[in-house]
Amino acid sequence: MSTVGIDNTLRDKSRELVQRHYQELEDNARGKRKVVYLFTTGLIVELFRAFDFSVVYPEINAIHSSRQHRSVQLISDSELLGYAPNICSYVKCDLGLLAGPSKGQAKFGKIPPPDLIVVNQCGCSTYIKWGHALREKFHCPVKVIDIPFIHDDCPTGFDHEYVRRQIEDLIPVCEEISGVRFDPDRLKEILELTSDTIDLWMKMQELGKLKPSPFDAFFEGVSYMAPLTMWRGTVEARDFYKLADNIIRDRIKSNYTPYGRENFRLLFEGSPPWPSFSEFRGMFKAWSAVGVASTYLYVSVAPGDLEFSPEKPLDYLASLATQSYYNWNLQKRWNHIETLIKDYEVDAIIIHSVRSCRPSSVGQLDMRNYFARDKGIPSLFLDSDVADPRFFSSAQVLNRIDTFFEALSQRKKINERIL
Amino acid sequence: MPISALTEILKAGADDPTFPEVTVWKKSHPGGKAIGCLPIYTPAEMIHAAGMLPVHLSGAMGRLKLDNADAYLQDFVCSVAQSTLELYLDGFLENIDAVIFPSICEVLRGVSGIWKRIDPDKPIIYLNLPQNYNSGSASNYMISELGRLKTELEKISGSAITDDALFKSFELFNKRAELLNKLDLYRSDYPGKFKASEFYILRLAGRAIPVEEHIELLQEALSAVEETQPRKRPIARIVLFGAFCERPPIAMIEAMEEERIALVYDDLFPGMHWSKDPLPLAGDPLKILADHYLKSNLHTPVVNHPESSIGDAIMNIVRARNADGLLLATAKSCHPMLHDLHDIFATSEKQGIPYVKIEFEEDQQVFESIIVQIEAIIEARERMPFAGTDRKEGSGDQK
Ligand code: SF4
Ligand code: SF4
Repeated sequence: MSTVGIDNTLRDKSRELVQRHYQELEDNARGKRKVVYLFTTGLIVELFRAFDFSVVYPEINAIHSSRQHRSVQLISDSELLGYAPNICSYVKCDLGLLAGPSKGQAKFGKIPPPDLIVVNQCGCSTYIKWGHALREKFHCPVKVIDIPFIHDDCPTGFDHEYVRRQIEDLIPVCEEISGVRFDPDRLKEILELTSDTIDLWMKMQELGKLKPSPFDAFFEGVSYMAPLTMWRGTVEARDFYKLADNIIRDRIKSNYTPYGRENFRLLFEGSPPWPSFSEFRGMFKAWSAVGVASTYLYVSVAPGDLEFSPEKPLDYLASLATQSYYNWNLQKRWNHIETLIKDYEVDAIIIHSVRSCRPSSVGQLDMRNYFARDKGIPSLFLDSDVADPRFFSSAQVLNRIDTFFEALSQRKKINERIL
Repeated sequence: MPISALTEILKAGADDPTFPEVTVWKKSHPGGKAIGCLPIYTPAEMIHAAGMLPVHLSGAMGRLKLDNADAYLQDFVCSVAQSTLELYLDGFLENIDAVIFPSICEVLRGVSGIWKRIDPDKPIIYLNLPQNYNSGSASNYMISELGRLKTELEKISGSAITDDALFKSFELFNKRAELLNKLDLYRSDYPGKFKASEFYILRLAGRAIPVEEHIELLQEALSAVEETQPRKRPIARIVLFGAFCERPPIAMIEAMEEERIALVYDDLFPGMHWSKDPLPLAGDPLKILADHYLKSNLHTPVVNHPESSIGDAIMNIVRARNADGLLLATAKSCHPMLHDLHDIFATSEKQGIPYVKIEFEEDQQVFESIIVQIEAIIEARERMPFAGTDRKEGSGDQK
């Protein structure tokens, strides 16, 4: 097994697309195209691309602020504006950036004000609060797409119809604000690109099944998500994952594995602690523990077969939104994770519980009970935050990770001796 | 009997975590089923029409030590979720045959999954309540959800829910809502005669008894209120907002009233009288229920009207009730409420309405810090002349 040197082509390409996104937003700040703010779970950005909107993703801005170690300041700016300390830290990062002294100017770019905010309320009702808070600041229309929770195996026909109709209701709103007429063929073309992009993205993840895995689905995978969200519905996004496929397949030929060897195969559940991302990564790298699967990579997709294709654009959009992974009930998610554990030959699960995010964290303790106690899969439960580094206690996290891997090593040794 | 004597009797059982009312009901209704309703809104009329007993669940009001729920929920999760789960894990809800989880927030949504896993044989029904109030399709969607709920309830009860039965239930629930609305106004108009804590106890007393019995009790309470001699006149009229889902301890409300604070409005137990308008008694019953929910215009942190501000809605209540100020009593860790604080603070400040914010937990026993904060509003009241109390209090309360 070998490492053929860190290949940064993909990471650099992803960064370039992020920079281009923000550059285009800055250009648009001069008022060329109308701006819509969208949220990432149950994402239906394609509809807005069909009206040539420029898209701002408040959550992604919060991620970039966090990775660039600006979140503590922004969180404190938003608290000075009167936002409560215990609410979602993404919201506070974003409001600190847009409504605080930064006035929308981030290191990564200047965020233009919205002409429209669409709250695709999918799995997270904080979005609606976020949308309201942004409206207080920008006084623009806020439209809601209410996406019913999948409480059973799949959504009901009524769930689908309700979402589809709400999307349809947005068409005249978009036409009026953007001044662009709705063209279903244009939407179909955009959705074809999305469909190809998502297929490639899911196929890329499948490569984690190989032993050793040619990439780290968590620490590397999250860096490749930008094209999927920010550029979805474009040639750039599709081509990025074609490139990813080529590069990762080349790695397979040279028996590449991210940390030189693969001691443990992990499944990661939950979002990363963004401000401490590199440090967190180092803690796993030290044990040559590779993330071969990650549920976070599903954040804006609907894994599994969808009933509709881009041929029926509004139905396809409605299925993408309704069947989004983050809209699944706990048991459905766990059944899926159980399949991943088998298919990816996972040794252990790492659950990162995010204190300020109830949608993702409620249920995760029981998830540990389910997998560790009922299914016998070693599971490590870590608790910090997505954007607020004050909840990330390095010493404590390191200690827990080391103790976990020590125990896991022992277990592996014993298992290897049993015939 | 004066109202204080009546509510004193009811108080002992109002927060009993063993739900003795359900046991009593089941004894007199062999084979009868009890359906748990989580906050804040469930169409309890439908459960009643199915011949079953709706039981409003919302935590343990501090009457239970949390020993088991922490294995399932992190410490940053609100206490209503923690203690309702604890009630279930500790076996206090064995008499409850199924539970309805309305889609109010992600915490309860997560709890619904945990609940199902704890005992897969115990039915739960997840009810998606539309959040897009402005959408033309919300009503149709809600009708479909109510249709699903009806089918599930029929499966549990073993018999069909007829339109006739639904309209009979509507009539009874209308009667109860009318009485609750009357009592609500009474405590605002005559706070020296009828306290918010007494009104709270009367609502709690109806959490798990048949609506018919609750109506009788409320009628008795209304006569008792009318007969009650005015007590000392309160020195400040306050709107209490923020506890919509949790049930704060009765002692907390009483402690405020000890300081001669009149809570002239509160959002405790909103699901029990959801709308000021009665349910129409003819037409398509599911459509009626859907409209009742969607058009209630009730603002709570889990009912988000996209075009209007919760701050404005509360300030309108403060003015309508001639209140001196606003007391924001937020349950610790309730995200939907915490998110709304900014808008509420900003609107209060813009409109010059004094407010204080307190945080409570359902097992809280000491309220001194809360009282100290409330005194700020009383001081503001003493500095400023106040129109509201004078107008209404002339009719009976003592100075
Ligand atoms: S609460 Fe969680 S899912 Fe919702 S916006 Fe915040 S981080 Fe995202
Ligand atoms: S108190 Fe708040 S967070 Fe808790 S269940 Fe109720 S609405 Fe949800």
